[in-house]
Amino acid sequence: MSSHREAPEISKDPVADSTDVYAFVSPDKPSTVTLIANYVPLQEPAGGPNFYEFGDDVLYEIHIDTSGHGEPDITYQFRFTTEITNPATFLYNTGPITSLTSSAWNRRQFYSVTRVDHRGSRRLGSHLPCPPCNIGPLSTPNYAAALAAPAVQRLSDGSTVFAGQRAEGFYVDLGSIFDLGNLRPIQELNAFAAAAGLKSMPGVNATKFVNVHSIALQVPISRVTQSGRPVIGVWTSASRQRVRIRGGNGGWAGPYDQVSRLGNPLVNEVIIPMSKKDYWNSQPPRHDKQFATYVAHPELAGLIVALYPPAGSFPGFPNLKAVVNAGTARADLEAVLLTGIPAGVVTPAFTTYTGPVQADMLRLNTSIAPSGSPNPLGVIKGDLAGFPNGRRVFDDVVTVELRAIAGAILHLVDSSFTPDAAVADVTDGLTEASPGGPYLTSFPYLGVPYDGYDHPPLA
Amino acid sequence: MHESQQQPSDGTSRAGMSRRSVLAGAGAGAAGLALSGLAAAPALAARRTSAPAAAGTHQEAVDGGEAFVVHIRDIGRGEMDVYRGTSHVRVTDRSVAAALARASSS
Repeated sequence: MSSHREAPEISKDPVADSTDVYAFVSPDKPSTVTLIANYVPLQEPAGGPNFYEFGDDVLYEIHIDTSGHGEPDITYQFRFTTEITNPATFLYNTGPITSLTSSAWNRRQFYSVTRVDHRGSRRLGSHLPCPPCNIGPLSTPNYAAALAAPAVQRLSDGSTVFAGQRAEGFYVDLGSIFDLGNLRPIQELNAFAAAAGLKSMPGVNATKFVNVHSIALQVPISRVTQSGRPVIGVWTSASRQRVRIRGGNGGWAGPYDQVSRLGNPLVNEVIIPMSKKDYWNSQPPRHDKQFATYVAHPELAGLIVALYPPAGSFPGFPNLKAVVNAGTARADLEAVLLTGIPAGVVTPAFTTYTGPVQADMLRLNTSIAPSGSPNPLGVIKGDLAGFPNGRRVFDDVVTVELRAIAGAILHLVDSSFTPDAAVADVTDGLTEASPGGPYLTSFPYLGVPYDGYDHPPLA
Repeated sequence: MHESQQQPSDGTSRAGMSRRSVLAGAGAGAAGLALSGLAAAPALAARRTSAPAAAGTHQEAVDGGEAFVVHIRDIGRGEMDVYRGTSHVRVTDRSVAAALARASSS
C-alpha cells in the first residue's frame, strides 16, 4: 500500500503508522494549500467497542520545507488527549451521538495544533474536538452534517483544520500486487499467473470500505511558502518518547524518536529494502542521500522485467531490461522522488525542483492552479496539478509509480531511451471510482467514513 | 528546529553527577537495571537538556509529577542514560551504577 504497514516495526504500531500524505492547491480555495496526513490504517468500520483513535502518546507532525534543504522550515504539531465522560460503562456511546457535545458519547478525543517556524513555537488551537467514529445509523445519525462538519475548526491564524476518521481514499489491488507482482488486468502476461492459467480480469480494491484517521490542514499559500519560491516539500512524521513505563502509574520519559515518516507514496513500501525500512522511518529527509541508490536502481524495475517476460506477441520490457542490465542510474526517479523535477523536463516552465539536496518529500508547486478537469494520472497524462506535483486525494499513485518505474518517463531525462510499449498496460486496474464512496469537493476532501452497520455491505 | 525532537548527544558524559542525586531520583526498591523514580533531584535537574514546549502533555502524564528513568548501559563503566521529561542525558559514574545494581538485586 502507499505506506500502510510498510515496515516491520511500524506495522505493529498502527496509531503511529503514517499511511498517506496529500498536498495540493485547494480546488475550491486556490489561494490555499491543503495538507493531509493519514494514520491508523485499514480500519474495519465495525471495529468496536474500542473504536479507532489517534495516539495520546504520539507526536504527529506535518513538515514543510520552503527552502529546499530537506529540513522543515515550518512544522505543524498535533497532540491528542482522550477524555472519558462516563467511567462506569464499557460502551463507546450510551445512546445516539447527535452532536460533538452529546452526553451519550463516552470516549472523545481533543487535540492541539502548534506551529513551529523560525519565529518560534505558537499554539494555534487547543482542545479542538475530533468527531466520533462512524458507528452506524443508530449511534451516529446524520454523521456528515451533525458530527463531521462541526469538527472542521478554525485556528487562531485563520487556517482550517480537521482531525478524525475519514473514508480511505487510497486504492490499490494489494491482494494481487503482493502475490508475486501480479496485475490482474494483464495477469495472463505475469510469468507465475500465466503458468497458473489466470486470465485478465479487473482489479480489486483492497482498501474499499475501510477507514483511516486524517489530520487535515488548509493554509493560505502565503503562510507556507517563501517569496519567489513556490515549490514546497511536504512530509509527515510520528514520534514517540524513548521510554515507556508499563504497569504501576505508567508514563513516558525521554526525547521523542521518529518512528514513522512519509513523503512520496510507496517509497518505503517498494523502494527501500526490508532490512532498512525501520531505519528509513527513523531518518529525516535531509539524510536520504544514503538511500538514493535504492531509488536509482529500484529492485522493482528488475522484477517487472522478470515477471513480465516476452511471450507470444507480447514483447515484454526489452528497453527497461537493457537499462536494468546496464546498471544505469534512474535519473528520472531520482528527480521525481528526491530532488523534484527541474524546469524544462516536462514543459519549459513546469518544475517541482527544490534543489540538489536529495530528500524524499512530496513536492508541490503552489503556483500551478488546480485543474478544471483533473486526470488521476497527473503529470504523466498532462495534468500538471496532479501527482507528482503534490498529490490529490484521488490521484492514482499506484499506476503512476508502477509506470514510472517501468520506464514511462525515463525518456524525459534520457533522450536515447524509448519507453516499452507495454508500459501503457501497466496498472492494477483501479481508478478514482474504486473507493467505496465519493471524495468530497471541499475540505477535508476525503470522504465520509464508512459506518460499521452498513460496511461491509450485505451480500 | 523542532524542540520536541531535539536529540541527545549520545555519548555525552555527565561526569560529576553525584551518586546521591541519582539515587534520590531513582528511589528505593526499584527492580532491574532500568529504574524509574518519582522525585527530582536538583543536581540532576540542573544537568538535563532543555525540555520541549510541545511535550507538556506527556510530561504531565507521567504520574502527575516528573518521573525519570535511569538505564544502566554498562555497570562496569558506570554508563547510564537518564530520561526525564523529554530530555536524555548520558552520565558516567561507576559508584552510582554499582549502587543501583546492588539495589536492583536486593
